[in-house]
Amino acid sequence: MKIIKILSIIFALTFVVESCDIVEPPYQTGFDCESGNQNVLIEDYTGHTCVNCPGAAVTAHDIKQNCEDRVIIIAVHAGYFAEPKASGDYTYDFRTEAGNEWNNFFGIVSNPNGMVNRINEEGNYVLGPGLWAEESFKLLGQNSPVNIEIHNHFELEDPDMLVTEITADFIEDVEGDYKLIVCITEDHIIKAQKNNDLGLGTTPNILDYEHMHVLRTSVNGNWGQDFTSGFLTAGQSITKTYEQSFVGTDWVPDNCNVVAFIYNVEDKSVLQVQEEKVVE
Amino acid sequence: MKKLIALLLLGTTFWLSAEAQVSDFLQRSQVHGSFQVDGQFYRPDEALGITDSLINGRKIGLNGFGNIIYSLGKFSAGIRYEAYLTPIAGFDPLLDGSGFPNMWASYNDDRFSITVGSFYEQFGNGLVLRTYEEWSLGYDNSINGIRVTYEPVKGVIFKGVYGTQRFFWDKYEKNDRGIVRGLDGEFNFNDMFSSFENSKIRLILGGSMVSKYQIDANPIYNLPENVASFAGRAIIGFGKFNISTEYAYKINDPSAVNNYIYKEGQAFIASASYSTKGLGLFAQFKRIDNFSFKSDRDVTVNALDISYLPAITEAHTYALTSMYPYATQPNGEIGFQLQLNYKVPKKSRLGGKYGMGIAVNYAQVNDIDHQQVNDTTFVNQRGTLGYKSDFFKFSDHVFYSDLNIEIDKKFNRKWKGIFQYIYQTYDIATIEGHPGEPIVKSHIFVADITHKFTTKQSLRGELQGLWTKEDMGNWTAILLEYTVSPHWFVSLTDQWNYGNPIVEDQIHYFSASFGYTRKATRVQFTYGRQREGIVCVGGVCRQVPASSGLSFTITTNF
Repeated sequence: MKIIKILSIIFALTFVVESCDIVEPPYQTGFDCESGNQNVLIEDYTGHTCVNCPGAAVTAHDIKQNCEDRVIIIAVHAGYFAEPKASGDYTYDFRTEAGNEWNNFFGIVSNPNGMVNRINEEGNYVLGPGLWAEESFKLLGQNSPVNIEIHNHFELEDPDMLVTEITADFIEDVEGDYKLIVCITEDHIIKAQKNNDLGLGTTPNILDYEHMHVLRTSVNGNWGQDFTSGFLTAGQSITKTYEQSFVGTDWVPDNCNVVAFIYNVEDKSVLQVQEEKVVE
Repeated sequence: MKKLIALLLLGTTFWLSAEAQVSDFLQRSQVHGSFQVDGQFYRPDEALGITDSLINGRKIGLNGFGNIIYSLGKFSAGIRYEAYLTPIAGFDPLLDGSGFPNMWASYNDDRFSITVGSFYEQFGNGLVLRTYEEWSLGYDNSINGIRVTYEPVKGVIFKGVYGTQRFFWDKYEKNDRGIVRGLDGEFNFNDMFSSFENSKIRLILGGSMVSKYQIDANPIYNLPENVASFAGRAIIGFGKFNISTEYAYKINDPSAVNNYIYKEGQAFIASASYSTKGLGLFAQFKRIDNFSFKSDRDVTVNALDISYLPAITEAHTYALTSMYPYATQPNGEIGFQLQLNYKVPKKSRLGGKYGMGIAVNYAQVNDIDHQQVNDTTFVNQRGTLGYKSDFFKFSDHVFYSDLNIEIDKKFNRKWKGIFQYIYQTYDIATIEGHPGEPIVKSHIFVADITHKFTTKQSLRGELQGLWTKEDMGNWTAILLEYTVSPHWFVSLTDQWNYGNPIVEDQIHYFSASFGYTRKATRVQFTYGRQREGIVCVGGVCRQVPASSGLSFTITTNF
């Protein structure tokens, strides 16, 4: 009986000691951004009256901060929380036709939510912000069969007309149907944002919130245009050129970026993504 | 021939013996169970903004379950079937589906028990572990695994649990959520020592430890894979006094709920009561500091809770008194509750022939104190220690307060009534996540009168009023309920938002109900409108959208 008591105490003590992982600073670790060439597209579905969305934006920003150019963010304002109000601080309409369509198609029913490279896992594309880092980390270590380069310039004759040239270099064979989407995003837009996190700013409103990576338009349609079909051998490259006028918009060219991504038509997964500032 | 007779005799003996055994087996076997089906047919209702496109072909919602428990001596086993096809509006869409989420088998000896499969357990007040099922919320955080209890001597009980929690219909797969492990010990001194058995002093001490294991797959933060929580509790009674208290501590547990901060968590609850004939006094204090404890750190929905943080505010039951229910804030709250129950004696001037019950309750919950951990870190900044907090300091931010006075009076053999007045303040911005909206201050009055025509027939009427300048403005509600006991009832209700500042939203929520009860079976049909609102049980809440149509409930148990 005494042995049982002693064993029980040993078991309980072992349980207590082994069940505690007290983490000491620094609390942040680093990403491995070197292995693999697969870039990551984080689509942050958000809205200016969504109180939890600033926190999600920080999550996306934290991931990008670790691997900079290899992580590309698009903040898609769509759905209920993105609706502009008739009056007050939230009259600005961030929504876009493409964003609204993606929001409906991928089934984003609440904010904040998002997708990472539009990966479909068991019929579900949507990931909560808490899972973006984990999914990004997995993808960053993988290899994509294609690299994308973007070159932007404004027409000399028409300084409001952006010309963007997208070149895809295939380093491995690719089979299947793929489309290319080219988008404009804008950083540093100062507008109001609802917030419930004191750590990120005032609550319940941050009137001078800095909106980053805001989707402005899809240059070549909501679902892009055909890029390659059938079998493509390694070593080939494809170049597409698009134009986008800035006339009639309030977009600031210095703050704008071109985001281009190639995706699989069948499952919508992103094959490769790249971003380049409009004014290089 | 002799051989044939012998064979027949042997066969008959064997058959009789087998029949006796089967008969004995069946006699000792017991089967119990319960069933419930809740259904709702939706129809468009322009006034509520419910259109055909919003219903989107989803005209019927149905939630149902069947619970069957078999027992034979020390052995018992159970199975639970659930169907949400599709879930009734307001229930989590992740419930959509049907199947057998819970199955279990158990062996209970005098001192020892073991359960495998799905089980429910609670350590103390539940601060570090409580798994339970609440049908009205669509909530079930049962553990699927193994539970062992052992009572070495009378008054001492040890419990151990190990398993993974239910997450809607998702079967556990490696590393897709955490694993829960727990130990609990409780010592009832009055049972342990015969000299204490009849003592006026009653003493129960207990301690728990619960840990979760979840892999750290987050590439940004260095997350703890093993998060432990500890709790100690005491129940002390002396004559008419009772004191109950529990303190719990949790090591760093960064999660989506607490914004990935590394601060430790604490929870403390204490209550004291005194009761004597005609008088009851009750006081309670609670402090929660960063104590959301889930078996998946990335989950924010109502699921996978390991800890249970009980509410210390009165759970109101009338339609308008429960319009603004308080939901526990796991990231931090500090509050208290005071209650007095007094029975005015019979044949006194105030009590009259039958006496009169008076209950006064006041509860208040504030935010806890938050201070920066250093000059360069914001309060609650992710990836930091988050904040510092003085243990007993109330912040100026009041989440909720509720003063309610209830009088319960029987006038004569035919008439009785309950009268209630409540003054509530409700921080709708925090509790419902509507930032910028002002605190709702409401006065509520209820009169609930019952008239008995005969011993079996009665008519009950409720008249309620809620007056507020905030949110949706003033409301009134009326109910008439005619009961022919023990089988029938029929009722008519109307809730009218006559004070809504938007004239088109000054809507009547009419409904008519009919119910029939026979033995353990009850059927109820309701036709009408249901207003948008919040349903809370024990501080855990779900939102209910407005709807219109026919709903029904069938329940039975055996």
